[in-house]
Amino acid sequence: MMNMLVAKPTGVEIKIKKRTLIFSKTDVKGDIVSVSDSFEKISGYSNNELVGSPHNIVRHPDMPQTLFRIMWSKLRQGKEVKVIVKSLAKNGDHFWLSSEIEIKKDGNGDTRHYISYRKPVAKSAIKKLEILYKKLRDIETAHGIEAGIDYLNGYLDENRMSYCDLIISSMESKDRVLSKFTELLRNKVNK
Amino acid sequence: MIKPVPTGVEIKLNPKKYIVSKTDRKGKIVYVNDYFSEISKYNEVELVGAPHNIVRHPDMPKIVFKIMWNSIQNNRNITAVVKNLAKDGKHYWIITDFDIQKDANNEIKNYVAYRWAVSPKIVKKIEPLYKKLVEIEQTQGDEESENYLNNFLEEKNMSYQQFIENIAKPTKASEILLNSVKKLFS
Repeated sequence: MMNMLVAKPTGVEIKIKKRTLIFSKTDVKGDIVSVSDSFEKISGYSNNELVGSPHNIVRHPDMPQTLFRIMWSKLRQGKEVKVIVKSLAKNGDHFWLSSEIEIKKDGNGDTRHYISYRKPVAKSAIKKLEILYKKLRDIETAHGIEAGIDYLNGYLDENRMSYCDLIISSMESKDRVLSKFTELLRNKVNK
Repeated sequence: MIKPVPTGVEIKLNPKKYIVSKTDRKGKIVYVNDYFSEISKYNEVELVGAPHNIVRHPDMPKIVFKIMWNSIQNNRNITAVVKNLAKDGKHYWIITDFDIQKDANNEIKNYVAYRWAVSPKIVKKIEPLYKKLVEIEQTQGDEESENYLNNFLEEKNMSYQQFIENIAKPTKASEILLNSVKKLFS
């Protein structure tokens, strides 16, 4: 892994074309193994810089740790995860992507890799999640991650959803086309 | 934290909205809905981790909380009428109801409280009693205040719960609404 300075967020959003398909593959520790060209382009990092780096190289300080904690605990339980994440590009700009994370196992049933299939997110979803994520971040900064997790659970209870439902409901229905694309991409990657 | 000074100004609640909060076993807040923040004027960061008495109004007699707490700790839901204090010193009257959530070992894990607006008519009925109880509490102590309430209820041959239900019987519509909100959390 190279030692890199993480840029300060500029607050500028990188717009991603609707049909752009992005994926990244990490090992069990979360270090990047490979990425799609589109991921390099959007993040502004070269393939060399990305491969071998922990995936949080693109972690945006606006993201609540609560989400990553829940994500990792689900993945370790062998559950696939959907999540919407704001990421930080090398130049400090940011981009929002929704990810579906697939678990890749070897012949012994041990997890070897995680593959994250990403696609752009509707503006309405970003608006909604920005408010929730800000609350979560403020709560975990003041009271710790456990408080963040409790709060998120309460929020989901009240809205009668799982986090996964929240993500799905945040995506617009026309994204069904994109889901089809994700499926195609999955097949291509898995070949 | 410095307690706000009551201004005597009442906040009018939207009768269609519920104030929801979730606390742990000890009464520490873990979740509040948007309406809770909006009315109490505390934001989520201030509320999460705080004991629920952050919104306790000095006009509330301690005995009411004792009855409430005893009941839910013993796994019995209770309805209570409470005057709460917002951060800006204004107050709001609510009627509250609980949902007791348990873990896999049947131990109490969380309490979810649902509160909705009470009509001024109900407030008028209960305010003089609370006033009297606080007065006794301050001049003669908690025990005397408790005795007074017990005598008051004995005379009516009712428990606190029955007394509240009697004066604040929820309308059919509000009951349906409450039940649907509760389903979300069960």
